[in-house]
Amino acid sequence: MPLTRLKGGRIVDPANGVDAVADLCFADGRIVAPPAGAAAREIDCTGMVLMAGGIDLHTHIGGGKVNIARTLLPEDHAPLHLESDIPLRSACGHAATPTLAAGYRYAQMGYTACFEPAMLPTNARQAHLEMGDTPIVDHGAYAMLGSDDFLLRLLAAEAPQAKIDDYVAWTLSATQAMGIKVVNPGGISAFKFNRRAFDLDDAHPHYGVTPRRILQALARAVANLGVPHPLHVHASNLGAAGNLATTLATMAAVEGLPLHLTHIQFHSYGTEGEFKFSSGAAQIAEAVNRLRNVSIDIGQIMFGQTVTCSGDSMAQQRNVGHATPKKTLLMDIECDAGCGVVPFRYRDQSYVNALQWAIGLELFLLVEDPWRIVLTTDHPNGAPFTSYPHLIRLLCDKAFRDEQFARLHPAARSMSLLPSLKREYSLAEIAVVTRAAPARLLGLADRGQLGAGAAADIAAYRGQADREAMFAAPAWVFKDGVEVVREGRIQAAPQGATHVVRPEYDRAIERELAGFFGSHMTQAFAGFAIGDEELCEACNHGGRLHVHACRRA
Amino acid sequence: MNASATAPDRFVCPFCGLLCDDLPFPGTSAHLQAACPKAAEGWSAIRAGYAGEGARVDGAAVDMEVALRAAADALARARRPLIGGLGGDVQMMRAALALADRCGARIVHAHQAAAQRNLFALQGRGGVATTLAEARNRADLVVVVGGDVTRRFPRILERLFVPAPVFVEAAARRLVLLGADRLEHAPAGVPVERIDCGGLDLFDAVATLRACCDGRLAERAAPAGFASLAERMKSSRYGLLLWAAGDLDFAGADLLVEELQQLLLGLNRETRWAALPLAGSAGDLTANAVAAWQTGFALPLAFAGGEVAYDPFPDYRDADLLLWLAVLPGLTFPEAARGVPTIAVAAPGLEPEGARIVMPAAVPGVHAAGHLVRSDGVVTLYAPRQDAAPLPAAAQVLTRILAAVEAQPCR
Repeated sequence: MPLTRLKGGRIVDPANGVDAVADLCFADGRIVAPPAGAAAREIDCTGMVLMAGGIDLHTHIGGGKVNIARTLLPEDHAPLHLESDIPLRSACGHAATPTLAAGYRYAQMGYTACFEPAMLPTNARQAHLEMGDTPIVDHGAYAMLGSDDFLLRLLAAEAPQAKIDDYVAWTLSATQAMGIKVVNPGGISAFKFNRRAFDLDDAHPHYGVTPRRILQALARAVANLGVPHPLHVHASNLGAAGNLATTLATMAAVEGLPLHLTHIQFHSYGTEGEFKFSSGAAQIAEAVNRLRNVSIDIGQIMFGQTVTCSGDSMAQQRNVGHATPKKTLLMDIECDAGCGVVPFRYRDQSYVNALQWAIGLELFLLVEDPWRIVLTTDHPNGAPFTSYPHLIRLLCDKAFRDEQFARLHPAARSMSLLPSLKREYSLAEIAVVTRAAPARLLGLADRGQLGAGAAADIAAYRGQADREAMFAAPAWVFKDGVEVVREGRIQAAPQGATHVVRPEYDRAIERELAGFFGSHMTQAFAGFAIGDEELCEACNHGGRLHVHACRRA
Repeated sequence: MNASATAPDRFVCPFCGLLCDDLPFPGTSAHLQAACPKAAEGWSAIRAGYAGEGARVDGAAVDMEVALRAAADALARARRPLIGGLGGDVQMMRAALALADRCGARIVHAHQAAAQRNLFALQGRGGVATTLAEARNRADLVVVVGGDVTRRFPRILERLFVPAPVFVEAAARRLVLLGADRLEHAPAGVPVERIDCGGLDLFDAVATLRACCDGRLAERAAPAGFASLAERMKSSRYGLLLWAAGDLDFAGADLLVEELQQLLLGLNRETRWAALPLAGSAGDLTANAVAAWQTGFALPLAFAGGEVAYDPFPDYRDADLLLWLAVLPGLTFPEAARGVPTIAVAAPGLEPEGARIVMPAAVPGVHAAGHLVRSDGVVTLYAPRQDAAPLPAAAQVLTRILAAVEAQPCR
């Protein structure tokens, strides 16, 4: 590919400490230092802000529960008339976005990589098939462990950590995953034994192990194996008033090991006030500011219709009565995990919803280090990802935020410290929380930044005071150097790559797993793992595979 | 190389939704009939007609290229094309949707009516579901609702009851029939009881049982045995409702499934119950899953003018061209489609009568590798190729038709 020069834009590249007007050049899909002389193609970017392509490290874009959510809500899918200069596949959707619409819409917003955070090992094939049908963006997934019977058996038998490391490494390899997630540690399994709540130090009704022990074992394994992304944790007690205490205890439980607490907004609730539901943002932010091993993403909610799809069947059983419209699907899954799909309509006149909205923003503004915080709505659980530009404006524009705040349920307003928070995110901080920080937290060395050698995933936004308008429709988007969007119109729909890690392990664990498949499972162990050829050729339409390095401790 | 580098030869049986991977490949074993009559039936359906013949147009053997061009030409000229059958793997369905999108076609699985019994209930009120491994390891009380599920899924009870369960005493497990008189393939050693519905039809029987479970009905108002069954269901630790939507062939069956799901949601307030709705044969779950992830909608769909819409009740008689896709056996050709000019991409032996153009293609899991969705909707298996027959995958045929269609604009 010949040299392209993006001329005279403001490059905002916090990973390289750059915030300056300069030319940005790329060739053969990679950023290069601007050479002297003319380029084959020159694009005038005067007045534009150039950032690396956005990276969403927690978005439910593929896998069984998302597909259940899509199927559950045909009434939520409106036709999308996407702006394009090439023939696109017909797309529709809103909350539980179908794969085609998700790829197109993410690219139109300047995002170039998305990570599915809850891939069940037994459902990994489907997740990869769905991600393979998500055009333009790169993708990857975190394998979900922590309520699977194999791990719980190992822990109950007090297996050595090395064996747990081997099992975690095998899981990453067999399911072609980028990281490990734990959801309500042990709780999904406990729900199968009819437990309805499960706190950090509760003993599992069958295996006797506690969520604390599960967290420690998995966080230790991820660290020992050198997986770049810290253990991705959906903590116990999601959504429950007072869960703030559990979240703080979860941070402490890993004893300094790297930990990523996801959709932390849903885990930052106190019990104060008339309605016994209050913001715990200040305490949570204080802890995050103090504990350098902890990173978070927010899971901001937005008002309107969405659908929550979670691996946390136990928490979703509690939400059945809140379903809007009134339908819910709960599922127990294959000695592995579970899921619950509950449609939700967040309302600004609901005290709880209004406060949830404020808590998310309080966290964004109170956590000091932007490198340890990632912008998410836990798509679609807090809101569809298409609300990101609106969320960016809320962070950047105090006056706009105050206007929105004034519409909230009055009791919620009286319980939030949001009006006192004067902070406004700079463009550099937006670049950190939407690309640089997620790239660093995932170990994507050549993404999320614009230094020479990095992948030419680039978004050029026309500078506008209204940050929502600015981030909704970039003027240009390049994916690996291919022009994919121009003035909001799709120009090309290349196949994205799959990102994985593959730490080494002792293959002796496979003998034990083969025995477990015989005694517990309903498919042959020999056919369980997803091979590279199957992944790339069958699942991902011939897309590339990026294997990221692990640095074993 | 990752963990799977050396997958040995395995046979994933594609002939019903259970996708058993513990059977011998029929080509190398004579024991298939004893192992599973459904597998034997499927095998003979695809094997019987296979003599290595190639593509045909109007009955005459032609080069595949000629048939592809004829198919593309017919599709480009059709005003109301319909893509039907859809017995195949994930790749076939991906290609079928791309083609439907390009040609403004409707697309529907041959067994959509059965699939919709579960689907409409889900879209109405939701439900509670489980998977094969949870069912086999946990279920202490299994209630089979409607017909004899072992006729369509001969090994289902064997797969649930023969392996030693992990979380329940094997001897404590019970099997109850509500609606069916007997089981053709009952597992040995499991007591089977039949509940007499006392003259109630199945819907009223289930509604009555639900009322008993909810305590909304005096004991005397229900047929004998209902009150005690309700008590046993409520005291069960992990109960399972088992049905095959294909058996519930009567008007309003989706309301029966909705009632079953409401029964489960009610029971889950105090204990654990879940459904295992049996489906997935002839690719119905596979086709619906791919449609849902690409478009948001389960089938049937209508593509037109750059939009896709949910089209729950398409009429074959509206079509002026039918593209029939059948690389898995077991599809019933719709009566309403007789007389509609038909093009078929079909495995040898599965061609519909009277198709004007026939393009042979591979059976996934036999002549080509393919992804198939299992009955519980969670586990997708990759069925490896077994047989060296030189048949292209259905997806390849459809992709070539699409390329030929794109070379000549649809009208």
